[in-house]
Amino acid sequence: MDRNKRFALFVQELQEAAAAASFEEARQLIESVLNGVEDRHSGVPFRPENWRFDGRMYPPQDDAERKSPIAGVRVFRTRGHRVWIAANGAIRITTARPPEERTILDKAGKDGGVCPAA
Amino acid sequence: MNAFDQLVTRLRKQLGGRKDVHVSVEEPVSATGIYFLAIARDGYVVEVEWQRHRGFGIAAGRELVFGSGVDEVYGSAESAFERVLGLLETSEATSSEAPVNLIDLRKLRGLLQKDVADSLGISKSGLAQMERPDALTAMQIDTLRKLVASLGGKLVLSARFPEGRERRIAVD
Repeated sequence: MDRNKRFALFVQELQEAAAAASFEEARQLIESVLNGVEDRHSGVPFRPENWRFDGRMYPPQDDAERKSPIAGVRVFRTRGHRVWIAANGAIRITTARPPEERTILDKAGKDGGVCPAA
Repeated sequence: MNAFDQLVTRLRKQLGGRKDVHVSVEEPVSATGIYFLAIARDGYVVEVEWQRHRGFGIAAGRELVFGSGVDEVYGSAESAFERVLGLLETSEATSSEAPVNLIDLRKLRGLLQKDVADSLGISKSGLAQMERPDALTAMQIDTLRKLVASLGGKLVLSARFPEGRERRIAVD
């Protein structure tokens, strides 16, 4: 399955998954859903040290965390996108192409709240 | 000023007057993290990421796929600058299938000269000689095989014929 289709599947499965209640749960949810999709459909083994060139999609890593403009929300950069994770477990994925930022997914945390806007 | 700042400064100076070009710069939380630069024009975007010791990674196109790596690596702000301007001129999509030289291949693997030199049991200057583009023409296949193995890969040689057939050549 090509990467665009795998990404669409990841977004769909992430949207359908049970909501997270904290930043840690949300990050774990992103990792488990993305790694599950890639394990089933990429044909590329999970080797994070090869993230730069092996063609598999990997969850955002610690060294890709950016300075967040929103209190209580952490933001990670990945190719073409940003992943915003709030303290209540809310997740937002946006495109990172300037000048506009388009929302791909806006998933509420367990308390029903979504990520505040930048 | 680090190499990323140098690139951003040069690009802003070069592109500053263009209203059709949008530039976004993002710094990491930690100074050792990955710096990102995105330059967009008419739905086309060039993304540059930089991290100390890893050089400049570049990916460009109309769709950049979430969570994946870069297609090209450049060792200096100067070479990255030239490539970014060239991409903006042509709106060409980068590809991970494009051939790379040995220096860029090592950097794509995230390895320092010292890592590879130690693995091969040679000096850093010896490796630098091997990585020069003109050195490849005289390099023995066994040396190249060992160099690729030190990067964690396996050398594959093939012959392509006019009728479209391609056959692997046994190298070990």
